[in-house]
Amino acid sequence: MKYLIYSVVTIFLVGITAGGFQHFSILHAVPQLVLLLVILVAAERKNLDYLFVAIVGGVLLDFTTSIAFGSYTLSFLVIGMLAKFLFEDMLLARSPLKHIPWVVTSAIFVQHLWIWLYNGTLIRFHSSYIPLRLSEAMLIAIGAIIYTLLLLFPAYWIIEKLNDYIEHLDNRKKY
Amino acid sequence: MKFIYSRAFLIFVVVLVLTIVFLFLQNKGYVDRIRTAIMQAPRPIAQATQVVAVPVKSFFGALFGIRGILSENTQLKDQLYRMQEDLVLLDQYARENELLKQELGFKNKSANLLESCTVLALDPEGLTDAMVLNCGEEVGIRPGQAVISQNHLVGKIVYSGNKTSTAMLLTNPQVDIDARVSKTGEVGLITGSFNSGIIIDRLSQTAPLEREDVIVTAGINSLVPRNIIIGQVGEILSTPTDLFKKAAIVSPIEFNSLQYVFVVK
Repeated sequence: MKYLIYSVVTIFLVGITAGGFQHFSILHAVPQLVLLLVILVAAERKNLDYLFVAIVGGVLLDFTTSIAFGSYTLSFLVIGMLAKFLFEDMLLARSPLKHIPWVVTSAIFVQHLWIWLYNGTLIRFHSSYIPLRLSEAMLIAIGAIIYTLLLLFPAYWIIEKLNDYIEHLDNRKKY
Repeated sequence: MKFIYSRAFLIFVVVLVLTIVFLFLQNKGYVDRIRTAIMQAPRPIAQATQVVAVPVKSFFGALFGIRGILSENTQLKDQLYRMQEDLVLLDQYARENELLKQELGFKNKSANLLESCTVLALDPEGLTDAMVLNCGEEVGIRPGQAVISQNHLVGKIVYSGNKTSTAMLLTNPQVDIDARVSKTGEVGLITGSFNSGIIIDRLSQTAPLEREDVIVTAGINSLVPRNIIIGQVGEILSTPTDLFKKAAIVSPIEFNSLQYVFVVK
């Protein structure tokens, strides 16, 4: 049941980004809602749920953005694992909300850098067709950071509620 | 070291291997069906959101630009009067042209062969300025062909699979299409500009260029036919000291709301 909820939420986020936020872009960028979901699930949940969200969201975005397959899936997985490591094994576990803004900022930069590098490499092997410029990728990253941080706290609140609901489902399953 | 024995790392390695396999299959054109099916998932939500977002954007856009709209209205009225005068002349020229063609025995040129395609996805992250179409090699789509909407050029095909294809929009800085100024015949190069839409570049510095001049395709590349409208000249971006003349192009097409397009075969 929880995987169905995660899938629906991820599809919904990709849908509203494509249909809604695209019309209100900041510096040509839209908020990175799926990335935010991956980081928040990694920070809030004690299991590997973030990997599921990273794979579903990554595959959806890889297909819809026309860039090389793996650009989003692999970056979400790596960012999710790093976020998990930071929030669980390092000091950040004490107050995750305080650290989420800079984690999100770094994650968006890393992700855009990765997409540029990955696509640039795959173009040489004829597996990607749309070249990206580093300067544009970085400018879009700045726009995406501003937009994502603006939506961070409402998103955090929604993920908290989602988390409570999934925990409630998990507990009901146990007993 | 403990990390490489974890479940998370195992999942990552499996996904990495699957990605490599997928990229290989994609090159061979075996994954179009899966891709099309998966891309359908967020479409209803995207379309429903668009129904709300587009009017909201138009409303606030109109509200902020009301002064501009009033002056634009006056300009358009003037332009309409001038165009009505031009129309009379054009009718006359058209009749003359038709007669001359018949005299010379020219065959009427057949219209371009068009393939209608549905836009499956427009890059939701704004990174690529590209769109995925539901038609591919099976119906004769191939890289380099022009994509039009409402009789205006909107992009060109960069990849075609069996059932889907990817088109780069004119707003993408990597796009380059030969174009000419309809009035003077001066040839330039159309390219996208990050955050500025479309620009025409490489025009001779001595070429006359005015605002509202219509820009059409030049037809030098055989896959993009001549005379497809691209837009009108907006602001002149170059200075007299620049090597080439450069201008912004205004297109009436809403590139992020495209739903159906035609590919010129």
